[in-house]
Amino acid sequence: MKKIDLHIHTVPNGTEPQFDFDLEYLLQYVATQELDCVAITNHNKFDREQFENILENVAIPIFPGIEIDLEGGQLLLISDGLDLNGFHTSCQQVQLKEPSKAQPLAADDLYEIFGDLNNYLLIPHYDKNPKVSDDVLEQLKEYIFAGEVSSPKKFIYSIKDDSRLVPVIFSDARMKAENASYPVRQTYIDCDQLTFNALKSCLRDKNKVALSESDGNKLFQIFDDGQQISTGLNVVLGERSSGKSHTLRRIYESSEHNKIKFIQQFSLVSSDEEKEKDRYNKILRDQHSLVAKDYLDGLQNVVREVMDIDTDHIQRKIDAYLTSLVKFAKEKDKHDSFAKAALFSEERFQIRDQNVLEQLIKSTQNLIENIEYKGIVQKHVSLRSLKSLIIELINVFRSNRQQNQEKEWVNDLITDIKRKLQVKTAASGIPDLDLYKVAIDLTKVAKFKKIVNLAKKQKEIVRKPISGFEVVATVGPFQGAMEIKRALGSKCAFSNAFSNYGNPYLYLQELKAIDGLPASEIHHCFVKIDYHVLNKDGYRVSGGERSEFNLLQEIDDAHKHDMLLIDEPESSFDNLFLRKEVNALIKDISRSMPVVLVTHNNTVGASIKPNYILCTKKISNSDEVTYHVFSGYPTSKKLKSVQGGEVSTWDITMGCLEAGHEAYEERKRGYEDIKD
Amino acid sequence: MKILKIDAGSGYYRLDMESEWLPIDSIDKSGLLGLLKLFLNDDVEMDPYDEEKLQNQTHQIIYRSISEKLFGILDKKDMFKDEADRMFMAEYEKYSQI
Repeated sequence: MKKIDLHIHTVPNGTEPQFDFDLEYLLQYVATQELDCVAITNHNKFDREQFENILENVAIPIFPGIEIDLEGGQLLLISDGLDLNGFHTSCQQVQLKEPSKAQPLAADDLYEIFGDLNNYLLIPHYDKNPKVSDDVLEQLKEYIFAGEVSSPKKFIYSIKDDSRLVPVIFSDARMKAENASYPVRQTYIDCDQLTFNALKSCLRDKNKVALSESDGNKLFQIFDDGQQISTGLNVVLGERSSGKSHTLRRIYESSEHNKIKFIQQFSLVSSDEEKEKDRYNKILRDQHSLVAKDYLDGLQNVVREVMDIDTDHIQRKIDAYLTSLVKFAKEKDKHDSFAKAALFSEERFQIRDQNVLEQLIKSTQNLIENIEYKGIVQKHVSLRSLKSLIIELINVFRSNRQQNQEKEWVNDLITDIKRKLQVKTAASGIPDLDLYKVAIDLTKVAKFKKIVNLAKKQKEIVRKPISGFEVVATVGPFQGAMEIKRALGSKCAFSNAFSNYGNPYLYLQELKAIDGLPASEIHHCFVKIDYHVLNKDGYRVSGGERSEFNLLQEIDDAHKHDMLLIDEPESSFDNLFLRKEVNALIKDISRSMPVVLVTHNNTVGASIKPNYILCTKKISNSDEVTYHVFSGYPTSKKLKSVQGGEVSTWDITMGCLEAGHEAYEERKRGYEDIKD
Repeated sequence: MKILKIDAGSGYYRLDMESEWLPIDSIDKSGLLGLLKLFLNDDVEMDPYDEEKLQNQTHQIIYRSISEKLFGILDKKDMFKDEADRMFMAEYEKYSQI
């Protein structure tokens, strides 16, 4: 098998941090990782001079290429290198167009610039961001047979699915001296002579590509020292302080963090009740989007309506109005001619908005224009009737509108005349007061109080089965300022406001006054939402069951990632449970992605039947201490390290899982004794 | 028809041919609306404001405001109707073809 990497960068792309190409790094990369063929593919450009320099120094076949921003994603275009001039000219045309994510090239541009695409090897980002869209793949399907993926999980997914392209995985790495290690993402191909055409031919056939040299897609490389792990379930064993957790962490660092799900030791248990609640809230919000949002949305609308109503201000306006009205009446005898004019004490016309009628017209329009349910609508109401209905409604609307405009005109005139009379007279005027609005606003406030009190009533709002458990959401009143603070995750102080919690309107005013509390969060402060998890018998979960639930959620979440790492799950569980359900779960997920499990629990380690075993060992001699990893299939008698060392599988298993051979025998005898 | 006049130092208005002339300081908001409607729909006459002829100060203020505001829309009499007719114009056109 030949090892290839056809996606390598030697020139920065303009948006990433600058780097200097280091030829020595590239040479070391090729040597240490034992590559047989590479391609140089920089973003939207081809540096000919640099390429020719590399060509002189690299012994393996090396093809010139370019990574192009193409409608929706990115694509590698690789040439056989026989006509460097021509290729360089074409790439210059690409560079001139200055393609970017915002303004990518189109498939047609490729034909225009490169001519017959059969002369090139085209590899789009397939299961790798930014993905090339299906439309473009369809357009170019004559020339595309392989697609780049970003992880072993995705590689295997494409292999298994007949409808998908041949997967390839490459480093996409920058060749710079500052790199801490060498890339480990390459593809093996079953190819004798590495010519351009042979390469293309191999990449048409899923049977000819693999993640490892001699183990097909069962194993893949994880560290640049050559260490491999299984694409299925790996168990990491080892005595204390032999480097198990360190190895796990190295694996975590080897890839982008958001692609790897890492369940750390003890992360499944929590003795803090409050932390548990936060965890449930987060899990249930993110993964299951339980009804919290729905329940509170209604409250949010109500709060918004009432937010700007100031009852004190309203009361003051009413008082001012009544006072001046009475005064005016009392002074009537003393009024001069200005104050006696009818318009002096006249009120403006009330103008009502036409929102309701407007909605009605739109609804009628909807009934007329809807296509999906036309049959049903017209079975009950004729189109003719609907049309004459809408015409009449529009006529009413227009007539109202005209009258409203005229009244507005008159209102302006009244205001103008009143002002002028007021200037001349000694009498006091009567302020304008829209009593209708006052009545509406006070009603809104009263309704608001009722609604909030109803919303606060303790009750269950949702029950949802999740993985053999039941999650129950309940609502109720907050018991104290701290609870509100925690629910919002806010730094603000709520104690002052909370003293008015029993009066929703006053409470709202206090909340508005809190510095740092956004208006959009206020509706969260009225009602508390709690989640509880119940086991299958209907009781609140015990500590161990809670860990189980947490594990189930974490594993569920893992499906979205490319790899799962679990560090000593036994720390969170008791033995019996761990064997049955958890094993099944872990085994199941390992069928679709690589899982690495660190354990020294014999229940897990032995019975879970891993695909691959890794064993960490600390070796100290007089001079120094070194850490090694020995690995192999569980059925093999010996485990090997990349340095060439060997250990016996039996010894290791006894040592790590059974605390030694004697202890094993002893325990075995013990079980025999109590067996009936 | 005449709707506003100045006579013997005072201002007067009326809302139809048959009714009496009423002093301008007695006009209320429905009276103003009535004047507006007459002004928009018919050819009406109005005595222009004249400070010397109109001696009563209260009358001066009221008469001046009204006549100025009405003269202000003399060449835009259709504006309220036009504005209203613009509402739902497309829908009206579409559905009135039965």
